[in-house]
Formats: sequence, C-alpha cells, structure tokens
Amino acid sequence: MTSHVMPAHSDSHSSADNYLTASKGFLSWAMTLDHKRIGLMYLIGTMTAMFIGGFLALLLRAEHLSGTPGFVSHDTYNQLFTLHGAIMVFLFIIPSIPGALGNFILPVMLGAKDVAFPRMNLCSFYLWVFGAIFFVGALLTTGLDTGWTFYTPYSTNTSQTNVVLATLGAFILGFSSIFTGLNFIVTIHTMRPPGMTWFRMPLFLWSLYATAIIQVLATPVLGITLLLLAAERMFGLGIFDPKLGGDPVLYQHFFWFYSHPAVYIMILPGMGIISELISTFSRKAIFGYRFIAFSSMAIALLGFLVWGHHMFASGQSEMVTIIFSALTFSVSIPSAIKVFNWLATMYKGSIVLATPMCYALSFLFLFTIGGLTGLFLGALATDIHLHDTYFVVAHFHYVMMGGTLVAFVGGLFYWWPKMTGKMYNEFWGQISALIVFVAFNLTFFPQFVMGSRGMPRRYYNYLPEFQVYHVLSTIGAFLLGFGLLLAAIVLITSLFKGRKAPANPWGAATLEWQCSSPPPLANFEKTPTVGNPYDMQSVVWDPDTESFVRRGEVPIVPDESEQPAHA
Amino acid sequence: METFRNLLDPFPSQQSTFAANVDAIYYFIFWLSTFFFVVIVAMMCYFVVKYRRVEGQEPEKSPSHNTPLEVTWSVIPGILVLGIFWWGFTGYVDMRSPPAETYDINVTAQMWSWQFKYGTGAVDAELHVPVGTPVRLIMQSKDVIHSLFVPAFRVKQDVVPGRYSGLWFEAKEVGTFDLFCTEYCGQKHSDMITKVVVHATDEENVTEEVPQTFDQWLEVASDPLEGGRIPLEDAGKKVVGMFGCLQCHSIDGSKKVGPSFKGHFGQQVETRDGSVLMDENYIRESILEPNAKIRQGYDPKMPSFKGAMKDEWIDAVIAYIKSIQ
Amino acid sequence: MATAVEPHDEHQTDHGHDDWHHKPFSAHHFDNAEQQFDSGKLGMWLFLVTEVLFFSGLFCAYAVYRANHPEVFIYASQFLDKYLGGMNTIVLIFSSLTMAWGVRCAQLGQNRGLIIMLGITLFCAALFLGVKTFEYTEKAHKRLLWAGAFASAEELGKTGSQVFKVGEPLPKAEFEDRVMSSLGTITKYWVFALAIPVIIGGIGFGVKSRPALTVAASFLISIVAIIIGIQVSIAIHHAQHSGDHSAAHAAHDGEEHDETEHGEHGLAVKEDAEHADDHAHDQKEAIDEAAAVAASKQETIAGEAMDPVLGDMTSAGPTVDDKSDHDAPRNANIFFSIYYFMTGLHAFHIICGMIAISWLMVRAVENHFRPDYFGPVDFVGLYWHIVDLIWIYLFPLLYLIGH
Repeated sequence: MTSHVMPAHSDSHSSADNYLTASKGFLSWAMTLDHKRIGLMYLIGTMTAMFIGGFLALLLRAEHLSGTPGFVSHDTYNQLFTLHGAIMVFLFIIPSIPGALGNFILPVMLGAKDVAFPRMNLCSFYLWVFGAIFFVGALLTTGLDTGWTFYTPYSTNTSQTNVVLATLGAFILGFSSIFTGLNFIVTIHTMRPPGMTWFRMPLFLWSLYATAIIQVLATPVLGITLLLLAAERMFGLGIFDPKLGGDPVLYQHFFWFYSHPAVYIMILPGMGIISELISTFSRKAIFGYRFIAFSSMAIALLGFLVWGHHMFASGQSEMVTIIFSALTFSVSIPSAIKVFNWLATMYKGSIVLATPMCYALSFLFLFTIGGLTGLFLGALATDIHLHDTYFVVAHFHYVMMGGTLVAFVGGLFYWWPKMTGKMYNEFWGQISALIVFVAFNLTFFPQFVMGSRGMPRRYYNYLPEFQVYHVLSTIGAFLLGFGLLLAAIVLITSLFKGRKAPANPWGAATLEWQCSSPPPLANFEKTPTVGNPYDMQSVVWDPDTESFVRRGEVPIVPDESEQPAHA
Repeated sequence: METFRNLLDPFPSQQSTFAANVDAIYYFIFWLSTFFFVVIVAMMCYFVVKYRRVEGQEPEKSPSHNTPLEVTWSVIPGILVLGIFWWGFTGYVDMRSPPAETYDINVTAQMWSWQFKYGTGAVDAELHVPVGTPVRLIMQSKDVIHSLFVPAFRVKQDVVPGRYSGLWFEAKEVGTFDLFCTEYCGQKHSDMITKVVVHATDEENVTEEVPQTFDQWLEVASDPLEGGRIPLEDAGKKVVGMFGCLQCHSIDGSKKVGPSFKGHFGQQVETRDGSVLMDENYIRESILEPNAKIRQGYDPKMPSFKGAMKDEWIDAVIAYIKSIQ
Repeated sequence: MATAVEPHDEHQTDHGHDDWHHKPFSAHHFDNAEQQFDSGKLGMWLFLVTEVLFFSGLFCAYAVYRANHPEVFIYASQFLDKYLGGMNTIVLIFSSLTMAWGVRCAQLGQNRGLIIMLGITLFCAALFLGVKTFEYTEKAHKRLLWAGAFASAEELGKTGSQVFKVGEPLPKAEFEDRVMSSLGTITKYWVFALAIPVIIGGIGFGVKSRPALTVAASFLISIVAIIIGIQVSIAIHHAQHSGDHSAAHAAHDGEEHDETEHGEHGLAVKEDAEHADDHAHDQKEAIDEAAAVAASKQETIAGEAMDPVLGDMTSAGPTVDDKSDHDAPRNANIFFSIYYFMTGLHAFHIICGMIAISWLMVRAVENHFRPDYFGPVDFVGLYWHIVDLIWIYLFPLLYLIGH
C-alpha cells in the first residue's frame, strides 16, 4: 500500500483536514468560498423548502378529503396551492440538484479545486436566501393567490395579495440560478484538469452542463417578465393589461418561454444522476455514452422551442398551436433514448439493489409513466380535453416529483457518504424507497383518471363523483410524506450513528470517489489521474479498507492491460 | 365489478360529435404507451433478477455502445410520435373549423359566473343548446382569463379579456352536463361551474330531465316576465337565476362575496363613504353602476349589468328583493 | 456584476509551491494566469448573453406591439427629440472608443493613459444621463407617461391601490417655463451634490487615502458631466424650438385673458401656450414644489401641466369608445410604457457601468493592472460595449420611426 499515491483511502491523514473540520465557527460557514460547504448549505436550504412545500401539499390533500368546504377557506386553499407550487418550483426543484448536489459534486467529479468563481457561488446562495425571504414575506403578510404562474390580468389587476413581493422574490431567485449556471459552464470549460476531455466527463456533468445552458439562456427572460409584471401592477404599464391595450396572452408566452425550459432545468440533472447510479450499481459502463450526452444537449436546445404547448387552449393562432405540437413531440425522442440506454446498461450487469439503485429504478418506472402521459398532452385533440385538469397535475408530478425528486433523493443517498463521511442504514434506506414508490403511485395515479373524467385543477370544491379518487390520492400523499420523512430520518441518524464511510463505498470509477470521504478542503491532495469514468473494472473491492480501490495503483494486483510490458 | 370498471373508465360519456375521435386518439396513445411501459418495466425487473450481483464474480463483458441499435430506438418512437401528432392535429383542426351554418350564442364570463346571451334577447346562467345542431360560442371576459370546459363534449377554450374567443360543438343527445371554468380566476374559481342543458328540437324527443324543447325554452327565457302573466317577484326570481346573482349574494341573510338580498331593505346601510338608504334607487344604481357606493366591509367586485339587464327586469329584481325581506 | 472577476488577496499562505500563487491577484483555485483570465472572460461573455436575453424580452414586446399597432409607434415617436437621442448615441459610441483605448493602455502597461481613458468614459456616461434627465423631465411635464399613469385603479378593475397615480390634470401652463424651472432645480440639487466629492476628497486628503481621492474624483467627474449634459440639452432644445417659442409667446400675449376649459381634449400644441393669468401666481408655487419632487425622484414627476395631445389617449379598454376627435391613435401611451421601461433599464445599466468604471479607476490609481493582469479592465470594457450596443438598437427603434 503506497498511501501517497492513493489519497483515496489514505488513513494517514487525520480527519481534521477535511472540509467539514478545516475551520470552525458560524462565519467560517457564512463567509465560506468552498463549493462543498456552499453545496451543503444549499442542501439544508432546499430540503427545508421541500418540507415546507410538502407540508402545504398535505394540507391541500387533506382539504380534498371531501368536495365541500373543509377546514380551510376558499382563499386559504388558493394560497396553499399557489405557495406549494411557487415554493416547490422556485425554492426547491430548480435549485436542488444543481445548487446542492451539483455544487458539491461538480468540481470534485471534474478534478478541479473549486468552481471558477467561488464568490459568485456564495453570492448565488445568498440570493437564494433573499429570494426565500421575499417568499416568506409574501407568505406572512398577505399570502399569494395567483397560482405559481402569475397569470395576468389576475395577478396585475385583481389579486389582493402581495404579488410584487413574490415576483421580486422569484426575480432574485432567477439571478441565483443564473449565477449557478454561469459558474458551471465556465468551470466545465476552463477548469478541467489534464486528461479530462469532454468525452471523459461523467454524464452527470454533461447533464449539469446542459442544465446550465438553459439556466443562462432562459432565466433572464423570466427576469424581465417578472419586472414587467411588477411594473404593470404598480404603475399600469399597459403591456399585459387588456384595459390599457395590452395582451395578457403575451405574458403567457414570456412566462413559458422561461418556464418550459425550466422544466428541463429540473429534470436534466435528475437524468444525469440516474445515469451515474445505474452504471455504478450495475457495475457496468454506461451504454451509449455519447447518445446520452448528446440527448441532454438536444433536450436543452429543443426545450426552447416548445413553450407554446402550455397554451393550446389559450387562443393563440391555430398555425402556431400546430407547430408547437409538432415540436413538442420532437423533444420526446431524446428522453426515450435515455430510458432505452439505461435499460441496456443493466443488461448483463452485476446489479445490486442498494438504496440509491432502488430510487433509480423507481425513477425509471415513474419517469416512463410521466413521459408517456406527455404524449396525451402533446397531441392536440386530446390536450384540448385534458388541459388544466388533474391529468396535467398528475403528469407533471410524475415527471417533477417521480423524476426529479426521486433522482435527487437517490443522488443524495449515493453521495451522502462522500458529503458527510458517514454510512447510513441500508435496510431502512431501501424501505424508504419502497414506501415512496408505492405511495407516489397511490397519490398520483388516481389523478390521471379523474383528470380524464374532467376534474379541473385548482378547484377548492369538486363534484361528488370525484371524491373516491381524491380520497385515494390523499391517503397516498400522507404515506408519501411519511416515506420522505423516513428517508430524511435515515440520513440524519447516520450522522450520529453511522459508521465511517470509506473513500469509495460503491465501486464507482468517477473522480469524486478518488478523494477521501469527506473530501479534503482542496478536494485532491494531488491532481487526480483521469481515466474512463465508467471503467468499473478498474476499481476492485479491498476488504482491508472496506472500500473499492483503484486496481491500477494497487501493486499486488497488477493489471496488464493498463501497463505496457516495457514502457 | 361494474362500479369498479366504471371507476377506471377514464372518460365521461361521449356527448359531442368530436368525442368519439378524441377518445379514439386517447385509447390509441394509451395502448401504445401501455405496450412500451410494460416492455420497459418487464425488462427492468428481469434484468434486476437475472443479473443480480454475485459476490466475487465480475459481470461478463458486454458492449458499451451499438449505433444501429441506438438509431433503431430513436427512429421507431420518432415515427410513432409523428403518427400521434398527425392524428391529434387533424382532430384539432376539426374542433377549430365550425361549419358555415351555426347557431351562435354570446358568452360573457366574469368572476365567478357565466352569462349566455341568445339572439332573441334571452339571457341565462346555464348554457341551453339544441341537440344535433352545430352551436358556436362567441366568448368574452369582463375581468380575468376564464376557460370554458365541457368534459362530455371534450371541448375547452380560454376566454381572454379584451378579445373574442370562439368555440363550436354539436351535442348528440338530450340531457344536462357539467360545464367548468378551468382557468384559475380567483377566490371562487371552483364555484364557477354550471350546466349545459341540451334540449330536444321537437316534442317527441323531450325527456324527463329536459322537458322543454329548445324553442319552448327560448320563448320563456326571452321574456322572464311572461308578458306580465306571472307575479313580478316570481319573474324577479327568474331574472336573478338567469344572471347568476346568487353566486355572490345570498337570500338567507348570510354574507357571501356581496351583501345578502335579505334584510336591510328600507334601512340605512353603511357604505365606504358614509351611508345610504337601501331603497329601489340604490338597488338600481348597484346593478347599473356597482362601484358608485360600495357597502362597508365588501370589495368592489361586482360587474355592471348596464345594457344586459332590461329596465323591466330590474323592476322585477327589486320586487323579488322586497318580497324576501 | 463585477463578480465575474475574483481576485483573492488572502490566498498566499495556502500554496507556496509555485510562482503563480505568489502573484498579488491570482486566485488559488486556478492553475495559472491564463486559466484565470480565460475563466473571467468566458464568464463575462456568458453574463453578456444573459444581458442580451434580458433586453430581448423587451425587444419582443416592442416587436409585438409595433406589429399590432404600427400607428401608435409612428405617432408617438414624434414626441421624442431625435437630436438629443442622436447626441447621446454619439456620446456613447465615443465612450466605447475611449473604453477600448483604455483596455489597450492596460494591456500595454500605460497606467496613466488607462486612468485618463477611464475618466473620459465615465464623463461620457454621466453626460448621457444628464441628457436623459432633460428628456424625462420634459416628457413628465408634457405628461407623456406610461399607459396606466392616468387611469384610476377602478377603471383598470384593480381592487387594491396598486396603481401609481400621477394626479389630476391641472390647467394648462407654459411647458417651457415649467420644464426649465424643474431642470433649474435639478441642476441646483446636483450642484449641492458636489459636496459629496468635496467631503470624500477632504477625508481622503486628511487620511492620505488614494482610493478615497479617486472615488471623490469619479464623483466629481460624474456630477459635472450630468450638469453639463442638462445644460447642453437645454441649449439644443432651444436651438430647435426657438421659432415655436416666439410663436407661443405671441399667442400668449394676444390671448392673455382667455381661460380654456379644464382638461379639454384635442387641442393643438400652440393653444397650450395659453395661460390663465389669475392662476399664474399659485401655479408658480406649484411649479417649485413639482420641481422639488422632480429633483428627488427624477423620473416620476408629478407634473401638473395637461398634455397637449396625449391627454386623453388613455381612454382605452375594449368596451370604452374613443371619444377624442384628434388624430391620436388609441393606446398611444403604450409606446411610452415601452420607452420608459427600456430606456430606464438601460440607464440603470449605465449607472452600474459607472460604478464598475469607478472601481477600475481606484484600482488603476493603485497601480494594480499590468500587461500580465488586466482582466477586470477587459471585462468591464466588454460590459460597457454591450450597454453601448443596446443603446444603438434603442435609438433608431424609439426615436427614428416615421421620419
């Protein structure tokens, strides 16, 4: 064992010099420029937002146990679904994977010491905090009842709630997102160490890169839209107000020009995580690496061309509607390619159902449903019937929650040992995955049925014929909340009771597993050697350290293929 | 078993000429998706079992890419979705191309009621249409965006303020069906639901549920006063129903979005700028210029009915309000 | 947005093993100066892309409304002064030249030249704002404002009190006098503001702080340039309107005692020169008050003069008939909504640029830049060019329609 070549499992370093213990005190966190600490702060922030948003969702579901007024009023209900949507979208799903996992993992996976602009990274986190404060401000003063889409003229003229505060919050969060994306693009372009070519980048990085492009290109348009909205409300600009000659449908175009690509900001990083998980736990190189990488880029670019499919019933011209429908179908192909490639990766693999893999398989199941139900909504004739019903609600929850959230939790379980240096309880982790999977389907599958039967979304009261589906959905929702809580408990208890994590517990070949767990402050003591990120055969289980180690550097097991005989 | 089957049946009954086509596309996509979904999940489960990890045994070598395979599974779904697009597109064009001869109805949406106006001057809060006749709705909104949705007809169209939007359908059977607002429009969005009443066009086909033919209904609706043959307050009750007043005003004294019709008549009531005697003049002014004097504790949410409600109908409403004190 | 450049000052202790990490402005997580510069440059370009997209939303709104209502744009743009706009365009293009020159100086290590070029750029930027001050003030007094400025909350169906109200139109007045009086007050405030550089400079002199002195100098340059900008605009304005002005005065003399009806519509411009004498005195006070408000708010002046042509063009809405009998198209104020939003946002970017240039000046005086480290100058230069470029699009799109 030559520990100086292998920082991976070198026990010679005391735990004192990892990033968590390198410095102490509140300010060492609040003013940190270390991407790992910022990632961890993002993780805490976004998880808090998720549990608040989830709590609001449970209140909504509880209200829907009956179709008549229950324990909340009309107004409260409208505020609950608005804030549930706004918090989940702006404060949780968009920043979650790039902000938390991406910030932590991207530089390490790339073999860099940090992101390109650490101060901007910290700034991005604080912008997130400020944006969250604005939302909380809106929540505590008047609430917000416009729906997370802020459709005009309701949001500019009619709503009595603090729309301006919330739009400014979303505006600030937009800048937070732009800064993260900008940082990632620059980091990937300029900070790659020698040997890290574009096609040696792990697919998670490709997906973050594609995501970052959308963040940089789409978010500014949301920014200007929200500024216009705020000005419209405060001064009466007239651009979106029909009474002053404006056009409310123009607002929808502006809004969805961002918010449809934003859907891919949410799902692409999740797909990247799944590529890593399936490959690692099948102990097999990812199938069709280039196709997956390019499909991420294709989704990012095509995602800009399909925003109009949110407005098939809005009264935009028929020709536009038809073109958007055709383009919408084009974006389904890259997603299908990914699913097929993941399946092919599992073929002849060596599959182990560790907790992250359980989540990855749930993702595959749920995302496939989410994607296929998109076909119903892309086809014009059926969309006219299904638009703005619970079918849509179910569809995007299958994609956003069954897709992104499940991938996020899977990725969190996967990188948790790296982030905290602790192993969690595998059994309870798997149980949480099972509960989440079952409960998720129980919650959202009935919504497909009631949506098809004509139950409109955002309805406080509903007709008695829909009650049975609502009741099923509510039961599922509470179970789902319990499953996610269990996952959180499993992770949190590991901090106190978990055994120490080895450098590479899973046998992955990407760079982040080459440094110790948790990583040292500068990530790598020595510039890491970059190879094929999916060459699983290069890492083998080492019972001494209870970790996977790189085969090429272990002198006992020389690998002839990697060492020319007489170099 | 029958109830269970009903629960899973994804659609309300097919009541318009488009419905069958829409459902056919739906089922086509449904079975296609089911096929792919079952294949994907079955393969996933099979791989998990078949290739589960065995300690100490490395997986056998297998290729990590195969371009012909990739192209195959890109092109086949591509062709399939192209087919779906084409079918959806033709169905949509049908829905958006009304025939030359239609029966036109003007629709006004406002928070949170619908108003359907007929050529004869009839106004109603429910949509009455003749069966087997192409009907075109010309819709406008007085305030925010609404959306008219009739699940049984498979039609939906947003109603955007500042412009007219159109919609057409042909009802196939006599009966009453749900009509929803599906664009979030504020506090009582979920109460903005009403009925579509499909009338027979001749006496033979009337049903118990819809006992009048369309012409009979139209004649009565055009003249709620029935030429003075019924008491004024009864006519007023009809007018109140026609305009959907009870969405916002109660008749039992309880507070809704607006003040109740019951109580206060003939008394001084508090307004934002003082007080006013609630008499015939005040009611009339409130109908025509609702924002002139706002009652204390209420928001100026009521739209004006100037031009929509005829003078004698207003008299009837006043008589009705007086009668329920 | 200067965060694109991230020099660390506290890194030296971490890594002592190569030259790169000993340089004063190297960030420890980069391997070499080239990587740092490339990262900063790529970051800046990406930031510029977001800026372009930010404005592109507005250009889209512009395109949509211009396509839908071409008559509004042709009609309303005549109220913009193309000479002032043209002058601003020249000023900005010139500032781009000096900025580029400054970057070249930094690359060549000519520190003195860099400081001078930055100073000129800053001067031009402030000059631009001075001209803009004149334009906004003049339009506010003519009540050429955004669409909702005259509508009451209830007209718009707004149940809250969100609309920013300008107030009821008062009797018509001599615009020229009012505008000049407001501008005089604004200028006065800027003269008072000269105290800021004096104080900062005094402190800087006292504690011998070169950065403080530089900050004082950039304040001084900016304020002087704004004042010059206002005065030059006034001169250009008078040069153009000297004919109108005498005509107006003639009308004024001739019909001194005519009192026109309050808020009357559809009047030709010259009739507005009429002024009710018995109101004159009261209004003089009102003018001064208005001027004070104008000075503090700059943009949103609660002017009292009734607009000659646009006064009632806000009677919009699908249900309201346009009763006016003049040839102003409906909803013409939409043009001014777009005008104020676009130029306002652009002016905000100018202000950000001025802060960034001042920051560069402080660092240049401290002798930070050298041929192997000039990234910040380069990046701010790029930003300045994009701000310039956006104006080059704004000018013809807003000022040169229908001429």
